[in-house]
Amino acid sequence: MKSGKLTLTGITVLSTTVVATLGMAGISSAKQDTTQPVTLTLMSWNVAEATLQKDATLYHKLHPNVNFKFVTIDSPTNTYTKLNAELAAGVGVPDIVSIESSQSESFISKFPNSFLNLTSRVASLKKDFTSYKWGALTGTNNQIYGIPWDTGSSLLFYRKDMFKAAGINPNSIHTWSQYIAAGKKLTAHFKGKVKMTAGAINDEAMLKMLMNEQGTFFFNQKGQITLNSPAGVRAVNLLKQMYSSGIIKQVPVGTDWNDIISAFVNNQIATVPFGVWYVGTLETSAPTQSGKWAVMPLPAFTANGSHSANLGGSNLFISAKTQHPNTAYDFAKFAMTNTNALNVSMSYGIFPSYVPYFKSPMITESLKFFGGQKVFQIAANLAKNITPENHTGDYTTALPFIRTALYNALTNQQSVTAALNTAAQKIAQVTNRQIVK
Amino acid sequence: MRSRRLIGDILLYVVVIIGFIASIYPVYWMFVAGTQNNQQIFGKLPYLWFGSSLLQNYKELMLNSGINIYQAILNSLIISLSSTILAVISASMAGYAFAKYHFKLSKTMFQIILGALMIPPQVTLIPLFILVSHLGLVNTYWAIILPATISIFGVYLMRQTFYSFPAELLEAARIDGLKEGGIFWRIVIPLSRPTLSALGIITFLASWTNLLWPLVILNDSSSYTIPVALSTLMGTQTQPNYGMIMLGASIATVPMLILFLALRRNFISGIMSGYNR
Amino acid sequence: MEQTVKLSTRKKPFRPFKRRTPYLFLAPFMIFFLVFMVYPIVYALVISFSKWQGGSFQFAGLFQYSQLFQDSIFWQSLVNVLIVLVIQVPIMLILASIFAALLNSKRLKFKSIFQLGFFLPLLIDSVAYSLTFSFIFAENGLVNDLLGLVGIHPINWLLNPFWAKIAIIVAITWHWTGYNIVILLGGLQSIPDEIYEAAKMDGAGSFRQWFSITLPMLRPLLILESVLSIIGTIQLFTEPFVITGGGPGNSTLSPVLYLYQVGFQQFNFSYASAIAYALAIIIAVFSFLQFRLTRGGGRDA
Repeated sequence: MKSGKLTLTGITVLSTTVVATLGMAGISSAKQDTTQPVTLTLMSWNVAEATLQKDATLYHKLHPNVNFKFVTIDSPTNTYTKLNAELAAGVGVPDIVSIESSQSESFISKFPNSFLNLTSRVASLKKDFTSYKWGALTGTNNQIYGIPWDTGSSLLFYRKDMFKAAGINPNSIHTWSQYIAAGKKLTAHFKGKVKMTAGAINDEAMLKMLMNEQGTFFFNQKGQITLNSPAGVRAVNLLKQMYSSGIIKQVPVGTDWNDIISAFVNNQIATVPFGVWYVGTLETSAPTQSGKWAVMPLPAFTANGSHSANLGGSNLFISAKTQHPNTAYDFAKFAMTNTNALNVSMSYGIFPSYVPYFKSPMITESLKFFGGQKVFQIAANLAKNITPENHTGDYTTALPFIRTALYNALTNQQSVTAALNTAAQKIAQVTNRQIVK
Repeated sequence: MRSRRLIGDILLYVVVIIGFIASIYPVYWMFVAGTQNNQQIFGKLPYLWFGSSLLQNYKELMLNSGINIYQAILNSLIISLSSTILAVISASMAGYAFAKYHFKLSKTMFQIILGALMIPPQVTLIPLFILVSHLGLVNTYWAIILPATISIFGVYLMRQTFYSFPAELLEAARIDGLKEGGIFWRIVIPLSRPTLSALGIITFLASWTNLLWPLVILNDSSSYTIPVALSTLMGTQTQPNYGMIMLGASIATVPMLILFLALRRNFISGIMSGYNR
Repeated sequence: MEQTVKLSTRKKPFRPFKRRTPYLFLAPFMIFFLVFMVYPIVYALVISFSKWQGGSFQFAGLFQYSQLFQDSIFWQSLVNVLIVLVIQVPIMLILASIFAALLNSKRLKFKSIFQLGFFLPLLIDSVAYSLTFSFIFAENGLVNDLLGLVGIHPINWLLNPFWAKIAIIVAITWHWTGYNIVILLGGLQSIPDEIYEAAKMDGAGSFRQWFSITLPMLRPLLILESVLSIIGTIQLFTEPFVITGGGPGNSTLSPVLYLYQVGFQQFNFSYASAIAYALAIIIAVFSFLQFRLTRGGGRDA
């Protein structure tokens, strides 16, 4: 990089400067935010967007001068495509946008001056959210750029009736090896017609939970690569054991989400290890299975190991170029902490990470679908002990290598250690990150 | 000899009919599956006849799929028609200039244009994405129409066609006092209708089936074209209704079938024009 | 045609038109061409020599290309499409030749209905038919049901790297064979009957006729078809995107699908541009081979 800085897009710089200047003007007049009529634009995807719309209606009742304009996108992926286009061009960036935790740091590092720095604003809120959520919102400069929304506190969803038929006592499953043993028993009982769970062989969801449970992730808190750490090797070895013992129904990677749903709807699997957000999917896809399901914490690696892991979750970000930073922040804070707003979230299956809300009746209620179990309470208790996962700004770059490693290790094309080492080296080479020795 | 001929005839029909069935069966299956439920689609025996879930599938397609299939058809029609018209007009004008006029750098320009044909469209994907975002055209018809107006093949085809256009006709028109533009629009264009319609058809087909660029630049479901809309049907939050997806695919197929039946001859000659150069 | 070309260039035409007239005719095309084609082509090259850092593109020399060279996923995607095209293109062209010849036979009745049937796949949108094939090839799908009828154990098409490629090959072949039949039929119909009459006089049977007359006459068309199919297959996107998502593993990942993932899921524009240019070079090589081959085939176009 001796050649120094070379700006390739004159247009980018120009438009950025122009809009930035306008933004500054906005900040100087920010004090009038509360009385002047204000319109905020929000961009989000299906369920999240529906939630924010209702939150906006609630907010508008309290602050009639604030109006909202929504940009509805059908999926997180498409939201990111649009957001990237807007950030790269510096045109049309919405005031508030939702971003999943896995992608948050990518956006912060790729567009360092594009999101509003919220460090001082959220200082007083920090202790009120499950602590692991903040990592994904913090840039390499230790500044905070987002407000946490939901948690993906993970659970093992299981079919009570199937366990009973196969003679499995759910209370006896504490570790993954007990889970596998139960799986073998169940698969044998149902003569292979019912498997323990379903998954795509190179899907990273299980690996994420298994590593996070051990207090680590693909990267450590310093941003170094820990994919091939002992914890990573243990996790993939466990997955390999699951696949080779025949307790997992394999599905193609392109359609795995749909196929897992079809599998439980058609009574082909007895458990699903996923984030608490899967409650809604279970309830709406298989209403006839009401009462047959229950949850337990994820099994642990050792008898006294952790059962807490995160999978997924999103956050709200505010554009640095917004004309109304104070109003935008005030609304975001409202949507993420106000009880009525969080009730809306819950009604859409989005489980907040705002700890004071964990006492709310919507969290402590018994769910009929799960035979009266207090599912959300269990998830909330587990959420408090989740260790932060560091996705870093290079998560999306690393993912293809991680998936390839999983595939190679689980199809015996490479040993587990070799597959993870290869992936770690590739990631190191592309991202200039160090591998933890 | 006669029996050998008979066997030959039987063989001929058997092979043709097998190929015929293989060609139409998946389409038939798509339409049939649109009327079935998941149990029938993935049932033990191949269900060959229409099911009874058409209304249910239709209701779900309209209410829960997250797309509006008729809006998508409308979007596709508007985009494909506009870009086809613009492409045919601009390509025929350029082809005419290259064929019938002598001007500076004519050869070089033509070679540069042809040279760009060698570069696959994927090369321009990223810069176009940035460019269209700068222009603020994300999620608009123009984002798809503008890049699709460039038909290099069209310039080439029209240049070849106009070469053989009788020079005497042009000169007679000039003597009659017609201006250059008038000659082109009133004499050349009407007499080149078959080639123009052939070019129009292949441009339309290409625009109609284009997935990658619209997928990248359209993120708002109300602006989706048919391919993009269909590609999102699998991405549901709850259990997918496969019959609903097939019904969407079937409905999206109908406009092209109608168009084909209406313009059958032009379709065939359009496709052949790509080869008889 | 050659005649008129020469005439119009030889004869200095009298010039009643203004100097700017040809440029006015060219203007609409050239404006679009420069803005939406030339500029992006150049810009892509520039981006491919850069790296996105701190909110803007920074010059990075050959960094992306050296990454690409060592990227096993990219190479695998290339190998994938090469495998697909080596199997698929010959099968498709053989099928197309056979059916074109049969459809051209004087002994076949209901020709137009049959032709319509063979043409039908071409009218189905590529996403629509890819979705259809992804269901047909599902675990409990139609293909496995049919195999079951003849006693063949169901195949996990989309879970096995080999069978997933076969599923893609079947889908593409289904979609494009009719197209090639149409082209070849056009070629067949342009062969004068007298040649066949003469061959018959010489006592050549229909197979002899096919190999000594039909095939040589169709050769230029077949070469052109194969080159266009090869280039089309290298640019494969929709089928793996919809049917397999590039899996299992990366066994059906195509270079363009990889480009899409790098560009629009990882948002690494520089690397995606480098992939695009690598693809352009590979396609240029094939186009060059086409040029050599078609000249060798005696075409003068």
